[in-house]
Amino acid sequence: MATYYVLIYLSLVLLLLPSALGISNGNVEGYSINGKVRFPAGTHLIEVAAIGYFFSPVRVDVSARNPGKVQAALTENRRVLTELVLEPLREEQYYEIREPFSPMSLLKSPMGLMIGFMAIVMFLMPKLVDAEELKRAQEEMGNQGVPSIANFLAGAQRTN
Amino acid sequence: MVLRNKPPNEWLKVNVDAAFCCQKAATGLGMVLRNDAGEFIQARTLPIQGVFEVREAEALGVREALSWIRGLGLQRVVIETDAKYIVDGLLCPVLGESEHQQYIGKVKHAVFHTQKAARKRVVVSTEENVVASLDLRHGEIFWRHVLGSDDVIDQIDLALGKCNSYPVYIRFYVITLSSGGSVLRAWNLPDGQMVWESTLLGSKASKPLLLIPTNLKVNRDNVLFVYGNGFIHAVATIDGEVIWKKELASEGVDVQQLIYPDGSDTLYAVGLLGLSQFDVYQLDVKSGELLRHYNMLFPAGFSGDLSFVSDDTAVAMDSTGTALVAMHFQDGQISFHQTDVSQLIQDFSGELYVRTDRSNGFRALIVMEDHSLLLLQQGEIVWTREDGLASIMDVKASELPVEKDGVSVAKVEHNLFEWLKGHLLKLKGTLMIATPDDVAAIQKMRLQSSEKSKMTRDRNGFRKLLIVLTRAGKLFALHTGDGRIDPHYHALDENPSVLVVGRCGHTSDSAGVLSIVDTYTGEERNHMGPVHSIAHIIPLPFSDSMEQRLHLLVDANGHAHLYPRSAEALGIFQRDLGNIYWYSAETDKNILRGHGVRKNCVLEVSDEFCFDTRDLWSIVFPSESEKIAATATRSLNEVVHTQAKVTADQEVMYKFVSKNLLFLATVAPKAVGPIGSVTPDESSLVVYVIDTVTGRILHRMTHHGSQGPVQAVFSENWVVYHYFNLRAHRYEMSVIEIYDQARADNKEILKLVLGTHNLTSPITAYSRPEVFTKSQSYFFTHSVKSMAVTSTAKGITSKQVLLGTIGDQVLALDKRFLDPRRTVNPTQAEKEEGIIPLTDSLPIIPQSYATHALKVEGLRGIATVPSKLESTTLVFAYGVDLFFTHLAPSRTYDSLTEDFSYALLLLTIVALVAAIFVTWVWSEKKDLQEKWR
Repeated sequence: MATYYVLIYLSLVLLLLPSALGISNGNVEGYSINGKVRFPAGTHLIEVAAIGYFFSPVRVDVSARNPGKVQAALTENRRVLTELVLEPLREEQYYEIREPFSPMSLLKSPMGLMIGFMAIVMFLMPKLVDAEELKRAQEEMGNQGVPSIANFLAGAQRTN
Repeated sequence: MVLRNKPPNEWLKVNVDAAFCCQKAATGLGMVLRNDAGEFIQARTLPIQGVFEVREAEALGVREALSWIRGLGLQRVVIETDAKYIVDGLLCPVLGESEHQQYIGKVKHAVFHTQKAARKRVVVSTEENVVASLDLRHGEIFWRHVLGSDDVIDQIDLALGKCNSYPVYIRFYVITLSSGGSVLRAWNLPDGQMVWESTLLGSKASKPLLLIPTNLKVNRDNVLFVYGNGFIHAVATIDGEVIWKKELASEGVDVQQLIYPDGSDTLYAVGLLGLSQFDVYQLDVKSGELLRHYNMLFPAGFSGDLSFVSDDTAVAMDSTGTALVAMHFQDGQISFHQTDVSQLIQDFSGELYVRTDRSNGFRALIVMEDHSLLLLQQGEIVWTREDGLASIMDVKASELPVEKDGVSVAKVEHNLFEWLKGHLLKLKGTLMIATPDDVAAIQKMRLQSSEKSKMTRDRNGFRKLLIVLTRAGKLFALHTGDGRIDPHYHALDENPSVLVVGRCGHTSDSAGVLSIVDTYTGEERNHMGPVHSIAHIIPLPFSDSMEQRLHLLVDANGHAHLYPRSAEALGIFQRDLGNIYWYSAETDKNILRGHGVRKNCVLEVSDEFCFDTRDLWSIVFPSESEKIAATATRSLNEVVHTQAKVTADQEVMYKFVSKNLLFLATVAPKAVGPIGSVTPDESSLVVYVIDTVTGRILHRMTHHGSQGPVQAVFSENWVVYHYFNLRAHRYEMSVIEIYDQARADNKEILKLVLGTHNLTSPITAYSRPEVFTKSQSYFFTHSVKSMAVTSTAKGITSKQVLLGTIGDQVLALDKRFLDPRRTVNPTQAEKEEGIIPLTDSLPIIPQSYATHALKVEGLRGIATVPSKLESTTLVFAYGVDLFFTHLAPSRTYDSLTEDFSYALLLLTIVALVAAIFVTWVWSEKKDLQEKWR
């Protein structure tokens, strides 16, 4: 069984890639971009390693009974190959793309949120309380006046 | 055709092009200077002697154009050329990948390429099966290719490939002959692209030979001759087509040399038949026709191979080794001359490998005993390469010394200013208003500020020394900061040391050698040997007051020897004599044995550090159905943080964590061969989890229709292993998790404290453990060369399984994908717990490659070292290349990222303080208005 070989012309779509071709039976491992590879009868698994691309391993069945009969299929999606042209399934992006600078990202940062919240409290909150209610509240509080930052700071100074 | 673009306003433009004349071996450079309106200003032509590569000529053209422009005193000039690579080469930023180092290994063949005009190179092939082109001036790698491990390179040489005047071509090819003379490949010399490949078939194995005549053409093609597998082939160098072939081995002649006298029409194939007949074949170079075959018998017999002195003289030793026989063969005549050489020194040491190039003075490439490579030219060392690092066998990490206190004030002030400046620049960078100069400054500062090369311990524990042992027997200390190789001197009271164990011979009972090496200074502290033989090395979980770990070395006779040989170590050892166990897996006999220590051994010379061992248990695997394929144990210094795992539905699962667990995989003996050699029905894979103290099999599982190679990794309470599923014809990965059944009912605090298996009850390996396991299998696309698991300081961070793929990359696969509790439709509670829905294959996310777009050529092993920062682990991958990186399996949750902008933080604080004052003033004004009303 081992004396029978089939020469299969393998062609890789990306011609200029330095690629390694590993054939599971260990007969040929190394470089074969476009070339004849000797396959003994039996089942083989071809793996292609190329930086930047994802290749599915290819299952190759070389028939021992019918010389020259070869079947090939991708193991990832079970697609049958009519000719041994090895195509990458997809490109691989190894680096995460750094997000471009945007004002939104600055706002979303903890510091941006802090400033935003402060702005809301300072400018929007007084608007929510209408004037009449405020007046009533002030009256209720007597003649102590509106508690303001100025009073607060002044009070703090006095205690010193 | 090149598109000539219009230059910007007020700019001038030079167009450069090169022209070649192949026959005259000359190159012409032409350049035209024009203004932005396209009007001609000046032109220049320049003839250069010699033929260049297209790229080189264009680069020369650019250089000439630059010097021309400088001579004319012009400033705003655009240079345009049609050689795209040059433009890319000039603009491409150089990435500082200091953690990735490229090597080639021990050189075995070398060919110089020192044409006057072209860049000087040396093409080498190495024992790591690398073919590489090196810069002869600096020793840098231009290109290299790593061939498969079973495709060993036999011969390399250079051949003239294409030569054409238009379009321009002059190509040198590197020809490699590999796989015992059956695969011939041509690589383009300048860039290393493979040009063609040809398979040369034959009937029987023979010594592979390659002959490339310098100037021989058959049918207008340059030819080269290959002898391999009993056939002699004439191959066209341009495309690898076989022109003719002729079988020579049918008569059993062992051909040893091919000779082609320059300018003739005959090719000689010279060899020996048996040990005493000298044979010469004469072949026609054009057709391969056998012109003549003559031989002569030398009754005394030869020993060893023939060496060739000239085109018609060969020399060999006779069978007794006392006479040197010179054979002349010319025009069908063979004559022998004997010289008595009994006074010659028999043993010529082959430590140095010298290859000289006659054309250019004296130049020698020398391979040293430690596999380093150096180029000698006119008696001076031009460059050296530490290529021993391409064959690392083992890695150990060592801590660096603690930094001494005391930093001067000036340094702090300087640092403060630099620090502020740096952060201003960084802020500019984040706001995208940095100029290219600023960007460069930021990069430079990052490199400097990292203080990578300091020889002291850092706060995060990122700086470590990796002590690596190479196949040549040389020990290197690699600094993880910048990966430089520098055994730096540092005086401390007690430096850490490593124990290096060697063997004098190749058999297991040959004497051993021990050496203790200081990891800081690289000095050998203690050398012992030759001592007893060394069969097993068992690191013990004890260390003495000098922090030296105790080791037990078991010799071939079953005696265990304790190291270090000190009274203190002996005391520690004797206290725990009864608790020391180890196992040995005898792969050839299919037996797994457990051992213990008994008492001091009885020898002629009494030795209190020598102990007798006893066999405690053994497991014999049935040799007709199982063969040991792989074993894996937990790493000795692994830390487990939590004993229990709480599931989403408030269940508690207790991990069965034991230091004495062994994972063992066996395959059917038929399936030991390569994939595809057995049918699924004939093959099965059996996995075991075994307690190595008692020899109890805790778990056994059979994968029908599966076979090796098996790669496995054991960590905490789980094993992950990789194998091949023959039925699906895909690779598979499985996980086994082991849980403690005995403690499973400890669900309340009361039971946890007071129950039978409470926290304080002692755990003994002798008690019958009640365990239950969970297991799951997944498909995995690639074959795996090596496997490892990340390790962190406290074991809190989740784990990643590191896989060395066929493409020599390191893939970090999250352990969450290898969780046996995954289901197709996880419940909401399970999803919250972080369980990923089950898929039949494991996803390969390109961003999770730890090596990114880099390749660790010839990847053999991966080592992980915890850093002091819990989130981060240090990963060192080695093969022909070295690769080092930091990995954070759960992201860097305990430190700010590198690009965190402190300046932005500062700016926010300043803005907040300013806002407080503005509002204060504002509210005071309002207050005043209120009072005036």
